[in-house]
Amino acid sequence: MSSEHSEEHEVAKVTDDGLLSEEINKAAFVPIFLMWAVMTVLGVLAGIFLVPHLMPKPYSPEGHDAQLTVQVFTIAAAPVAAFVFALSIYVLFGRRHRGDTPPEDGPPIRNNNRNVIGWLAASTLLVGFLLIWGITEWSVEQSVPPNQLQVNVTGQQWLWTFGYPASGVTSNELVLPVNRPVQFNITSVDVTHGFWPVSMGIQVDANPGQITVIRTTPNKLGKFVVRCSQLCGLNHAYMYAQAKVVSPADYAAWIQQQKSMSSAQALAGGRSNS
Amino acid sequence: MRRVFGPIVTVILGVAVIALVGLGFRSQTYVSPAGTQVAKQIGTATVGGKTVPHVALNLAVYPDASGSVNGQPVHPGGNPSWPTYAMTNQLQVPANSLVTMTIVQYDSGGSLNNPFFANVRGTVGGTATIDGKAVKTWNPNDIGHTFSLRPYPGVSPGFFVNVPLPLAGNADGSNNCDTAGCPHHTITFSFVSGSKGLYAWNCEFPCGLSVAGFGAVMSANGYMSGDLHVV
Repeated sequence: MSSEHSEEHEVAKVTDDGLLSEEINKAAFVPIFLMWAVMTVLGVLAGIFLVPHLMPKPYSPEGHDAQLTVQVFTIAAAPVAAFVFALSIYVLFGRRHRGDTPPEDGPPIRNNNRNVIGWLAASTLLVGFLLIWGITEWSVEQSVPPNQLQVNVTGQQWLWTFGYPASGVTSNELVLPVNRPVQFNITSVDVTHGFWPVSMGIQVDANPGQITVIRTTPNKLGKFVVRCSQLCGLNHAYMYAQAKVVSPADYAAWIQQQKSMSSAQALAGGRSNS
Repeated sequence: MRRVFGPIVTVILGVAVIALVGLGFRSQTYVSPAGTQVAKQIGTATVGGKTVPHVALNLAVYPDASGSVNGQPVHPGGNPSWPTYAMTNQLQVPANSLVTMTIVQYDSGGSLNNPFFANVRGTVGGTATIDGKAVKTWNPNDIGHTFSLRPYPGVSPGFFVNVPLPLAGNADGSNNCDTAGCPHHTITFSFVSGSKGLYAWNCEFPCGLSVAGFGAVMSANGYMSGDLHVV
């Protein structure tokens, strides 16, 4: 309870109208601002350069939008998070009380209309921005383009199967033609699974007894995996399938190959069960 | 001194707790009491113009996991009302080799939840031999079990083997024997093993209880699922 403690308590004193004293404002502003600025810059740089490396390579506009959303949200959150961190660090280390006896609490801060209005306005703007962004992305995904390829997705413990009703083909592998819109009709024959072609930026639950629909348009040739995003039992970790985005000609050839296989199986099945 | 000592002890304790949790999970890893069946080399084969080892694996499916065959328990400590693959669920084969697998199926069965798994997929020639006859599919309502194999994510993407095992008409679950008099089917198929890594196999026939037949035995390690170690 030395004079040092008394001085510290004096600095932390709050004025009668609820505003922090000029003294503490000036002392705190520079270090908090510097920390905030540095951490904001780091957060923005991480949003721009780090996020694309942390997320899978996008194979559809939705995949690209998902990546862009994470980037934009990271950048938008950077100054807010930096402010919280800077203030916390300053308070924890710059305003740390020394000694065994804690100081008395100061009077509560009330009726600071400027801070209340500013905080509400900033929060409303940020949340409104996120809401509008999210609704816009969602509405784009809801649009039904013409010439959609229909793919029936069935989840079961612990494998995926993909049916192509237009051609009567079923496969354990998801093969899609590039640049053709696709509608996935998803269900499960046992428990809830999660249909998650990660690189396509879409994910929806596969529920038993129900069909959930999700759309996308693969726009890049390549291979990726479809995972299950719902913990679904013993071999959930193994529940994934390979997906391929191929040219329309390769897709037609693959469908033809699968049809031939099905025909041969139908014939062989007839013999084996006779 | 106390200001430094406190955080250090806190960090050490935190790391210790996390390590203990990790070790706890690791200790739960299933280890088959019957050990691992290492495939026996039975010759060589030509695959894609290359000469590769030709190896063989043998499994059986019994209706009673608590029973025994020729004095050997089919599943040490097994549940009496559960079917089981035997004699172990841990298999090992060399990478990029021709694997010929023989499964003797003694159990009863019924209908698949998904008829796709009545099809033979991923085998050499797209066929399996059932009681000496080559087939590409089976009636999805006459299935005992399936052998469905795929790699752990990150290993040989696209690798997939599925073979239906027809039901053997042994509905009372009491027929743990491997003599010619027991109702059974012998299923043989070959596939080319992928690159080194861990592969998972399981039955896709709903032979368990509860939700859609995938509870109980289907959700327990060591009975109707296992690992293929490709080395």
